[in-house]
Formats: sequence, structure tokens, C-alpha cells
Amino acid sequence: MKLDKGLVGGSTVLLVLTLLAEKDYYGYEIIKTLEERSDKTFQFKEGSLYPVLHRLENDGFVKSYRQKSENGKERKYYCITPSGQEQLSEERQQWRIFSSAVNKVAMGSELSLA
Amino acid sequence: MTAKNRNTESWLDAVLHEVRFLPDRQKIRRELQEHIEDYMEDHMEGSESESRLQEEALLAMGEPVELGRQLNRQHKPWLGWLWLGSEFLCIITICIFVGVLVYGWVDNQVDRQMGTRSIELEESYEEMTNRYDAAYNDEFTTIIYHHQPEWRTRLENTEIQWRDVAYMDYDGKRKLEVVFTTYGQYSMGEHCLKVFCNEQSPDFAEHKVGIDQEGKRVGVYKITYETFDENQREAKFSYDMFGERFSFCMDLTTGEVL
Repeated sequence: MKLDKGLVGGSTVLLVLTLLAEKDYYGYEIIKTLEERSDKTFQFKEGSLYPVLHRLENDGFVKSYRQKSENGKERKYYCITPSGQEQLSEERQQWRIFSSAVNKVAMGSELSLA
Repeated sequence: MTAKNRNTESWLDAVLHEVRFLPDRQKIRRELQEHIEDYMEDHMEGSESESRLQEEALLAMGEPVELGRQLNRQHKPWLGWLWLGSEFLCIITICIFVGVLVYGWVDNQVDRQMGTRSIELEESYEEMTNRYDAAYNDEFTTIIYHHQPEWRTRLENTEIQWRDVAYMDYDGKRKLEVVFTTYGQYSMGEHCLKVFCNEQSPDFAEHKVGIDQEGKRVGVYKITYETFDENQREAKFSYDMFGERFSFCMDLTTGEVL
């Protein structure tokens, strides 16, 4: 199912920080992991990941470094910083509030209709 | 350039054309290029051809101009230049700080060498120069000026430290005295080290030499010019050994080496 781009765009930071909280990734790995874990629900223009990563780095939520990947090629890895961990908690909290509100409104009317 | 590379390069050029901060362009290009390579490697199986695969990869990356504009928002020129400028200043500050520390350490080593390795010669130095203290002025001696240039020069493996320049009226005669120390292999006289002031040899010289604990030769020298023109504002000091001459000029009013 194709999701509205706005929905995906608004939660990209949450998704990226969640992954980086587990381990360090480079850009293409992030795209692939998001795709796999979401059963291909999250499939967006791959290049658009990089403005997000660079913004997170400018804000101090992630740091980057170059390192050889498992296949021997050097890639630019990203890791989450302590500020990034705090921001992730904040993003999760906001998502809980947002999704709960949407559920109440959208799912609540469905239930009443049923 | 093959069609494959040309398309990727054109796509990357279109992205980076929108990024105004030039120093970041190379890094961004590299990261995007690596992403495209990874995509193509990952989707190679089942692909009809390499050129088709490349088209798919670029399509998956998205529209280059829009991506370039999004990246440009994260690579603001004023912020980038500010960051580079502050990094540069930081490096310069560290270099200056390290330089000062090293100079101070070396300076201290040489001073300690003279002071601790040859106490006898340090006493000779004190004897030669205590008259320069105004407190010692007597009915015969009036110090007109006394400078301590702390100027060091090197002659092969010998360091010459120019320590005092004093001009005085001694019983009606205007005398210039220069005191210097040598540390290393060479010394005055014995090793043909000669010192001149304005091409003139001194009228009188006294010295004391010795060997320090490490076997290095240490010397203290005072050379005297019995009549020195009081109108001289600058002096050229030369020193040579085995025919090769070096020199420096000093402002006699300030003791500053020119």
C-alpha cells in the first residue's frame, strides 16, 4: 500500500534516529533496512534521505565518519549522539500523542459507524 | 566517458549545481555516488542491462534539482565559511601555543645549561657584568646605557648568546663593552672565532672557558672598545670563523636587533 508522502516525510527523523540508536549505518543501509522492516511500506526517493541526515548532523543529533563496510568498501557512516538520543525520546513521545489522537478521531468514528 | 558514467555524472552535476557552498560539494558528490553504486550492485541480478539498471538507480534517487535545493538548505555558505574560519583560527592558535611552549622550553634548556652546568662560568659572567648595575657606579664609571639583547646566533654546532651591550664613561673615556657566551665546540681565539664591531677588532678582550658536565665547551667573553663614538646609534656586530663571516645590526638606543 502506498502511503501519503506527507505521512512518511513527517516521521522520517523518528525512523532514522530509531535505526541509528540500534547501531551505526551508512545511507544505503538505512534505506534498505527501512524497506525491509516495514515490508516495503516505506519506500521513498532514496536521495531525500541525505538532506535529513545532514540536517540531523548540523543539529548535533548524529555524527558521521568514514569506515570500511562489510563488503570492504569505504562508506560514510552515521552514529547517534547523546543529544540525538534525547531527541529520539522526544520524537517518540510526539508520535505517541499524535497517533493516539488520530486513532481516537479516525478509528473512533469507524467504531461508532459499525 | 561511457554512457553509464555520463548519466550518473550529469545527474550528480545537476544536484550539486544547487549547492552554493563549494567546499561541501565534493563530499556530497562522493556520498551520493556511493549510494548509486550500492543500489546498482544490489539490483544487478535480474536486471536487463547495465544502462537500464543505472536509469532505475537514478530514478530511485529522485529528481536532482529538487534534491540539490534540499541539500543546499543544509549547507548554508555563511555557516560553512564560519565553521571553516573557526577551524582555521583554532589550528593557528594551537600552533602558536605549541610554538611558544617549545621556544620557552628550549630557552629554558639553554639558560639552565649555562646556569647549572657551569656555575663557575656563571660567576665569571656575574663578575664581568655587575658594573652595569647602576648601583655600582662610582667616581670613575658612569653607565650611559646598558642593553641585554638576549640575541642568539649559531655557528655550526656552537651557539653564541649575545647577553650585554654597555656604553659607559670611564674616567673620561667612552667605552663600549660587549659580553657574550658560547656553548658548543668553538670558542674565541683558540678556534679562530673572531668578533668585530663596525669592522673593528676589540681593543681588549677577557674570557673564561670551561667544559661542562657533558664535555661541551662553554665560554664567557667580554670585548671592549676603548673609544667608541657616542654619536653611533647603530652597530654592526660581525663574527667569523675560518674566513666565513656573519653579522647582525643592533640599535644601540634600544638594544633591539635589526
